[in-house]
Amino acid sequence: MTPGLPMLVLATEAAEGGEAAVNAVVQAASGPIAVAWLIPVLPLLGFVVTLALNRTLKDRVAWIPTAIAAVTFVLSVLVFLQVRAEQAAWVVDIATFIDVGGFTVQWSLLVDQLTAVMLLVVTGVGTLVHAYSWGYMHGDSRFGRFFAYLNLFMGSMLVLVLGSSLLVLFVGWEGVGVSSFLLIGFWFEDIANGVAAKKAFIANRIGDVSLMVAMYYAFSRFGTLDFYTAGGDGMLQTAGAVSAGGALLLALLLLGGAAGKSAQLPLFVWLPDAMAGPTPVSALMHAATMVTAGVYLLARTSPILVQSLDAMTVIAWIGAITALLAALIALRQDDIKKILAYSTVSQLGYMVLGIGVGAFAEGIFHLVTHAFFKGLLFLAAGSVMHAMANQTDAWRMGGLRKAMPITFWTSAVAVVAIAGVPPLSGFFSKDQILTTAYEHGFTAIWAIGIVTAVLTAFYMTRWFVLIFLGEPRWTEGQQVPDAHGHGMVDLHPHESPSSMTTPLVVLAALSAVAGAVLNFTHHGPFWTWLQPAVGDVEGLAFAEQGALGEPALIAISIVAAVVGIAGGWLVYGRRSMADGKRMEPLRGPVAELLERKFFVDEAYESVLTGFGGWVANRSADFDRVVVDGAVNGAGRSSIAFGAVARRVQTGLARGYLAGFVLGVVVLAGVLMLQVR
Amino acid sequence: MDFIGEFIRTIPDNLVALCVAIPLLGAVFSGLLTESDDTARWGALGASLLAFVASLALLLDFDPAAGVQAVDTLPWIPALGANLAFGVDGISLVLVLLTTFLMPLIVVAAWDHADNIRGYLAAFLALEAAVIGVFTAQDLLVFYVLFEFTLVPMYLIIGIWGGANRRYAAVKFFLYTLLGGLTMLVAVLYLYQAGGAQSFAYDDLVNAAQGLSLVQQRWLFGAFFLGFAVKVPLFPVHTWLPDAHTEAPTAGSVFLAAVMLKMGGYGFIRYCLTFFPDATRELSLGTGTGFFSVPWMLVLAVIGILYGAIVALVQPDIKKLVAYSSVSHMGFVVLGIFALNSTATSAGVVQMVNHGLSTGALFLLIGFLYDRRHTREIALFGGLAKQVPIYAGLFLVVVMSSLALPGLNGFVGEFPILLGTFQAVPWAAVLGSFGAVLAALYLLWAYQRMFQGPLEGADNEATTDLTPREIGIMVPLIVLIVAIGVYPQPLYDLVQPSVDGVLAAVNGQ
Repeated sequence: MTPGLPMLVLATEAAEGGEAAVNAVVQAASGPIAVAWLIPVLPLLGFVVTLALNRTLKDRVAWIPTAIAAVTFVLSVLVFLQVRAEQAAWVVDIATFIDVGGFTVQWSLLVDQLTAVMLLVVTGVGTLVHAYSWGYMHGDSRFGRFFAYLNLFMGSMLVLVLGSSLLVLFVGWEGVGVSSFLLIGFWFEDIANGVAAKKAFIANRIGDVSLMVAMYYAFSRFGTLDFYTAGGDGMLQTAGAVSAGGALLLALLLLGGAAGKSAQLPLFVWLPDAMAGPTPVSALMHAATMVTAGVYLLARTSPILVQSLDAMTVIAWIGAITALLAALIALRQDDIKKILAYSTVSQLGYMVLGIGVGAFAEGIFHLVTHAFFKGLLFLAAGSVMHAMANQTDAWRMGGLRKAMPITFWTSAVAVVAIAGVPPLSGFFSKDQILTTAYEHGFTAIWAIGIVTAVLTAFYMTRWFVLIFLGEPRWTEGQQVPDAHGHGMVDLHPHESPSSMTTPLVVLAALSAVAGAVLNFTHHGPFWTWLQPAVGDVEGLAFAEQGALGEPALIAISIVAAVVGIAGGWLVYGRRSMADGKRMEPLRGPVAELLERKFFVDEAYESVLTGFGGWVANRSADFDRVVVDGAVNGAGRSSIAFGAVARRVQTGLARGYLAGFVLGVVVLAGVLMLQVR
Repeated sequence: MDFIGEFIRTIPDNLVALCVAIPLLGAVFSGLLTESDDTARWGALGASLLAFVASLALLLDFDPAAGVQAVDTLPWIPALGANLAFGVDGISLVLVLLTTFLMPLIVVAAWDHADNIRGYLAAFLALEAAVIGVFTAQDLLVFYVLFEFTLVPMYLIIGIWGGANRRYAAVKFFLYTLLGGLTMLVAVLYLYQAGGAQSFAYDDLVNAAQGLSLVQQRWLFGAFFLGFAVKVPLFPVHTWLPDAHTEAPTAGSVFLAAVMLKMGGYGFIRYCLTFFPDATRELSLGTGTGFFSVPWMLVLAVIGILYGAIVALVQPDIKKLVAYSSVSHMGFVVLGIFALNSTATSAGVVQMVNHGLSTGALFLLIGFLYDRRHTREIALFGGLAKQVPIYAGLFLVVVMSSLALPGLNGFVGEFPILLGTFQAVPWAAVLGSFGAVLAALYLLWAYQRMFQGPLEGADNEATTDLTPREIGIMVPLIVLIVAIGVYPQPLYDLVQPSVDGVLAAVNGQ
């Protein structure tokens, strides 16, 4: 086995499809898990060191964060191997964080099967993105700083997945929010990027309030925020003791947090704007890892979710509607990164839908395959932008197949994978979510999922065709505006350097085979592997399953993918697109609605900056005129009073005297009232 | 020689008195005994550092479980039974440490202040002595006198060294806080009289207060409360703060926000809670009937959090924005204190320290920028992150601390406050949590307008980055911001036993 492909050997002790084993909770004393704290700490130190040495070492400083990323991957592999050898929920206590008045939180780590999967995804994709950035960010004036921020992100994300309590998770959760803020606004000279960065942070903060309240409530119910403890009183171990109403409330609060980070309705609006960041960031954070944090949170707390079928139903519907809505919007976007962004929102919807229907392991499975193919799609988009002088308008592309063959072929793999064509990875993970939805009686949600699958295949085909196929809608040597809008540059499309294409090839290989290898049958090795770490849906009173069996469901999934791809090909591939956007098939109000993204942004804009701004301005007026006005009035009258009393005094003494007189009045008043 | 040897031997026993005396002597030296500006500067720095060392020595021997300790007593007005008595418990100690830690930084920040530097530094040192006295006084009359005395140096600092509208701001500051203080004086005298106390010693008055009826407690609580609420400041008695901050010189703003506001929070715990436990429970948790079934203190705190933040949103002046953010952040402190459980109230104290560090750092940074640009108008800045990357980076760290980012100090205070409050009055915690969203909104919006976007205009292009001296002032603050954020437990270990003692009295145990 090569360390590069550890995911391929997820053989587990438990029999395939057997009873879900319950993890023993064990304090880790030896082996890689005992030093797992290095995995988040190294990148966090890397962040500080890189910033400190940035001026001295110039661009060479990027070796430090890159090497650290690789080391964390190796450590993650070692941790994974130890978990595989000794399956348990390993808890590593490091130090006290806060211990006051019965509220106790340790800096401690939790390593179980779910953590191990997340560690490999984050450090694996993270390392590839570090490597890719050497080529992509080459020549940027803040080259070293970019890598420092990447390390800050990785460190935070690793705290998030390793934290053994909701609070430590939350520390990482907010840390990735800051890294996201820094990286979206990395090219802050363009104010739009700064605005997008702030929007992301604020939208996430709104979700965070929900998560914070979830923590207050969880603490009031469980007396702890620890997930698992060796003593058996972790919140996930005693989840069964919570009332159905309590579990419903808690689950919905957690959903609110997840909706912020994982861009679900109604908080998804920040993610498309987040594409303002450099493309490697879009790939790493806003596709593969950070945005999956909400899904991870829900999977992690799934033992609570299963206490309330109502809560799960709400989660499933939120996911399904988000998936459908975002896929519809993606149909008519022109920016190659925006299309992928809405696609990401849609795919995250699938994962959340999966959590809601009780497909916890399947949801995480889709998280993994999506990290591969969507990470790949973004890196490919970055490669295209690299070739096209940072243009992102798909209508200015076309025919890039010849100029950049590696990007073309790897993109093809990713498109087929996300479309859900067997035997590529996306087929397995998406189909298994939808199958579970159907089997658990969520027939309407299953149907929405199938419709979304058709749309997905359609818009991804459009994306692919408009970029790579057909006749070029550009000419060699054409003058185009440069990225910063300062001048013009010549257009010379070319394949990207090997530092960029190598990650593409690696991810393409993973996108192709990961699904079949990890979980070929529904209850295959990956599913079995995760069972001890997620909630048990056995006892839930799901609705009756419909009439279709698994073979029919699989067939329908495949048909959906084929129909979508064929439709995309018929509309965009067969005809000449030389005339550009005028060749779009659909016109009129529906197209307008899609292109303007259902006017969600405009609605938020008018409510927040319109109404919110009105409230803030009126409050400030109130403060100045009413609250302060009353004081000034009182002040004036008392000063006048003082002036009458002692005309010759200075301002200081006059004020003092006036105050004193007023004080005596108050004093007398109090005494009189007191004596009554 | 014997005298000196004797003196040195007594130092370890009189550390609290030294913490008060050293800055006072420094003030006399810098203000009166020297003609040289440089000597005054070094004298002030030496005195502030010595006071810091003395407070650290106090920390070394401190036993959190032992209550008030290291008490120094000198007879003062025997006829009234008033003594110059000082001592510290955990709550006092962390606030003293905050003060003595910040003071050397403030002196260095004021180093190049052009106008009558000797008087300026002397005013700050006198202020430091008075504030430390407030935090450590074990005698109510001493407390009251020093509490009021702090007005004088700050009045001078604003009124002499302030901005264009300094007279108005100074008088407003003075009147406002004086009035609040006077109601307190009435209450002090009444308490002494009605309770039949033999002295103004803290413990005597606590005993005297036990004989009060609930109605008496309510009135006295209200009178004390008003005095402290003005200081904190709480809505609707907060409007002196934005004016005071905009007109005060940088060092004055730092001291005002970082240290002086804490006298209000300290007063709540030390006097309102312990003297009037029944009224406190009623007014804080709404355990009474009718009017007293509403947790008024928490209502005021939540209004402060949200109102301060909303008004901060639309301030065009960055200093005023931070001033209103103080109203919001001190709302968290008040929320925690009056939630009356060990978690929330301890965190309220810790949050006072955190707010002191973050807001102190913010005002310092704003001052550095003002020195260069002579404006604080947010709209006049833009794109500065490119021009002054170090400044922008430090500003962002402090902003993140102020908006309670986990891993930095603001979070480890705010979160336990809210979590603890939720256990007592859930809706107050939920509403208060939205302060976190609003804080992100007004701070990041300001950051965006000042530091992001294109670098335009000759003034922005000519702005220079921080000097080594300025970086040196910021580094200790940043280190503490991160250190407390990651490992706040030492602070909690100091504070919690004292808070538990107070709460035990409030809850009648």
